[in-house]
Amino acid sequence: MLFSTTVLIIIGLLIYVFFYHTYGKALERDVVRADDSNPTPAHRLYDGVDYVPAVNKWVLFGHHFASIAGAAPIVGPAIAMAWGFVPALLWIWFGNVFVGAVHDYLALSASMRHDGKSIQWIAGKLMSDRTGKIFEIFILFLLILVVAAFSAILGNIFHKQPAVPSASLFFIIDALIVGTMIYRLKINLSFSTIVGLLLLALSVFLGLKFPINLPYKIWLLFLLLYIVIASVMPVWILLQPRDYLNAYILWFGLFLGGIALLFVARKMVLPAFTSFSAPVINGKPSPFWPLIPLIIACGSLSGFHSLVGSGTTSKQIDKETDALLIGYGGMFTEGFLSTIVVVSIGAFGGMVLLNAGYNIFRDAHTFSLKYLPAIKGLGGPVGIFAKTYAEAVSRVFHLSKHFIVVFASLWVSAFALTTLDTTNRIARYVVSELAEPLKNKKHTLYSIFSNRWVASLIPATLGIWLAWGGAWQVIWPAFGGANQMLASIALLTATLWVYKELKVERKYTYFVLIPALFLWITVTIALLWYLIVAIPGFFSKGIAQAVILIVFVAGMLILNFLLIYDFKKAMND
Amino acid sequence: MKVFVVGKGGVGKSTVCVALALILQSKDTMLVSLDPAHNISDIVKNHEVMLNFEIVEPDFEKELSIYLKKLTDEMKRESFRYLTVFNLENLLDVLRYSPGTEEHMLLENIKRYIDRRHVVFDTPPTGLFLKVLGLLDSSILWMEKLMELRQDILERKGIKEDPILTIIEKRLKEYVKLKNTLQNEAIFIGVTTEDRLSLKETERIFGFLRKKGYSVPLLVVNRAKEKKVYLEGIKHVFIPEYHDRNPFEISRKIHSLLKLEIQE
Amino acid sequence: MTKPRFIDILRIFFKERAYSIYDSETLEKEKLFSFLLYGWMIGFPLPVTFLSLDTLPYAEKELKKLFLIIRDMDDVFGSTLGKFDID
Repeated sequence: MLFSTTVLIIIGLLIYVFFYHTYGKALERDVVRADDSNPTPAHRLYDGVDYVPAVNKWVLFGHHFASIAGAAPIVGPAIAMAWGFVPALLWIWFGNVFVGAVHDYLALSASMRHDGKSIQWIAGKLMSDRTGKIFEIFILFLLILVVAAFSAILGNIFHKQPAVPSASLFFIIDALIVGTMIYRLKINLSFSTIVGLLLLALSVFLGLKFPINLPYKIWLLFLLLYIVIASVMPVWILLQPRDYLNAYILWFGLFLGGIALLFVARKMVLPAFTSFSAPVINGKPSPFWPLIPLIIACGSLSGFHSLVGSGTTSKQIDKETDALLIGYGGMFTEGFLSTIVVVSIGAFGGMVLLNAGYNIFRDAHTFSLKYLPAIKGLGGPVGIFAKTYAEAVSRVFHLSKHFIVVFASLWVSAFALTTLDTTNRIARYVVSELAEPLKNKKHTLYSIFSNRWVASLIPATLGIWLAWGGAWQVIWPAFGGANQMLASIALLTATLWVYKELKVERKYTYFVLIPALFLWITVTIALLWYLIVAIPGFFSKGIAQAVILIVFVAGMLILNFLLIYDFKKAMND
Repeated sequence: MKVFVVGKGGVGKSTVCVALALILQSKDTMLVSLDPAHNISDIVKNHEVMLNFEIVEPDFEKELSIYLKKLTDEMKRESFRYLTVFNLENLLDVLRYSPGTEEHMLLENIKRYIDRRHVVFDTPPTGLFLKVLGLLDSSILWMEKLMELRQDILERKGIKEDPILTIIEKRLKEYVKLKNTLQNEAIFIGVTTEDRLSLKETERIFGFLRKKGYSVPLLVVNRAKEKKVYLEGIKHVFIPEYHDRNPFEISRKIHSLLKLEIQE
Repeated sequence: MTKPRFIDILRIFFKERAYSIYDSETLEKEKLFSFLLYGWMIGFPLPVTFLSLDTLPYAEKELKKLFLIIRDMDDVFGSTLGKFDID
């Protein structure tokens, strides 16, 4: 019974607890040298607005976690199952402990020691001005690829599970109602929340009652429309109320899943290990190393977290020693979410796939070949997660299985939809920011790019266009790659900070230097592989799309080398 | 009756103003010079005994100083911590030269005297005066937008009482009222001579005023050699050269026409 | 100080969660308001208006917002992105 849900969940928790108290504490003690007698920016720069010490570290932990957790830590692991659940779990756990959580914690701490400035700002200061710009370009790539990847994933689940889009639609209406209640009518928050949560349950119910059946591409067009409309609305209408309700879904879903898998005690039925080169990306034999970080990004390591950590969280930390719980521990919680995904698919995937008529279990090899095509029929990564999650939860809590399937899908879709909304808001800003150098030289071009609608439509249409062929297996890794590159900048910056400003003992620098270089090398090779092996196969699906991907990935690789050059120069200075 | 006398410098605006004041003269009549280079006193100094109206020639410099002093005092009363950081005393000296201050002081003076039963305004040089009227419009728009933004912020933060909003509201109300008064009760009388520049400028002022919806019933042609109508739809009064410095003669000329206008 | 109960922590968390983005937006509006009225104080070529002066005695909070504009100017990108969650 080594591989049962209960055991794996417990092992996961033990690993997290153990490394938090050993490795995490060592980072805190020897690298960051957290000291509560250093006043944090929240106290030193107190302004009652941005810089405010959090009432309680657990509250801040909750905010940080709610901000870093989204749809990606669920989608990635569901895809990575094609390699087998053991490799997936190992990367989630060890990537988390030695790379991802280190990244989050150090970005947070570096920001905390730099007056709450963002990691991008610190990178500009410690490495070179160019690094700050590279950061912005990566973010633009990332934003476009987020739109592409999330739209493809959403289109797939909406198409295959018609109850999900209608539940999402009802949930949007729910959010609109709650938003009006809280922010316009100023109705008591507790009451509004209860109404919101009841309506949330009703959305799931109504979704099941009135499914909407539309083809994939129609859903993409709806998503494009949604992105453009949602991102120009004031935040109180949809973004804020849904984000608020999402926090309930997240904690509730995590709690429900954790308990269910702990007590359901099922054997893992999917293969523990299939092949080192399972055909994960675009049907090509994809070597686990270096490709795994492209698939499981968030959940193990995500570059976005450095932004959340350094942009807002660092300004609210009360004591330096709180940062470990929030940065390091917050990442572990996200890893735990990914663990739940892997364990629930591993234990119930067999039953779900068989019930759906996919008999792909003859041997590990067959499974590795047929897993991804099979889950496509269930609604992609979200579909397989939702169905297996529902199996686990309905068994332990005796809830309706159909209801839980829609709830779990809604969970992921709600996060993905919120992301699409915010992505476009940010993209508007990034595009016009990047167009800035054109201002004097090519004024017409600049005014085109800085136009609100153009700046907003570029990433939205590019993203939707990339998703048009329906190949999330191709786009997802590109999104992962951009994300990991961002993490790489943050880790290299953290290394410089530790090395040059903290001046810790040389051996402790390796805590950061090794993961930073490991990540850089891994992702560079992975992107090269992706460029040479994966993309050419994409030409048959769409030439223009393939060309765009080539431009993106090649661009990222070039920037990547500039980055390591700047890093080396800064280290030697 | 509220009258503004507009026209190029040197065409005899001030004399026409005095003439108008003579027509309207009563206990409640006032002649206000908005032209920083005051010259009403010079014109009337030989006729003072016979005048039955009040002349106001505001000292803008002094007014500005008083205004700024009041402001500083108020700030001190409100114990404005940041003042010291900012060295605001020095800053206030700079304000005097800040763009728009002069226009604002003019507008304040119009606002102050416009509610008299009879008031005649001698206006400053055309460019400046048009700017003042423009300032009125743009200020109203600007304050409306600011008020909206402020109200939204206060509503979000659940704040009921806000001194800043009160000030904006009060100012906005005053300005809207002023604008209404100017549009509904005031008339603008033009003064010109027959030379090209002066006529051109008159045309420009009248065009501007009409576009803004102000009433422009009358044009006084000073030092007129011929009785030629320059602007369609506007009554003309022709003052021969030998009368151009005599407010009594001019007032006689204008009197009958203006009476008609008032009756209308 | 007594240790806050679990339920209190939850209450605070969800309350703050309900207003996080909304409050940031409000703050941006406040900055904008301060900027429009008092932008000249921090070196922007905006004309000083009678309204700026009239309201100045009551504008302590607004001027604080003005300082926030200066403070965050060199790191707008980071602090903007940090307020949203993307993945």
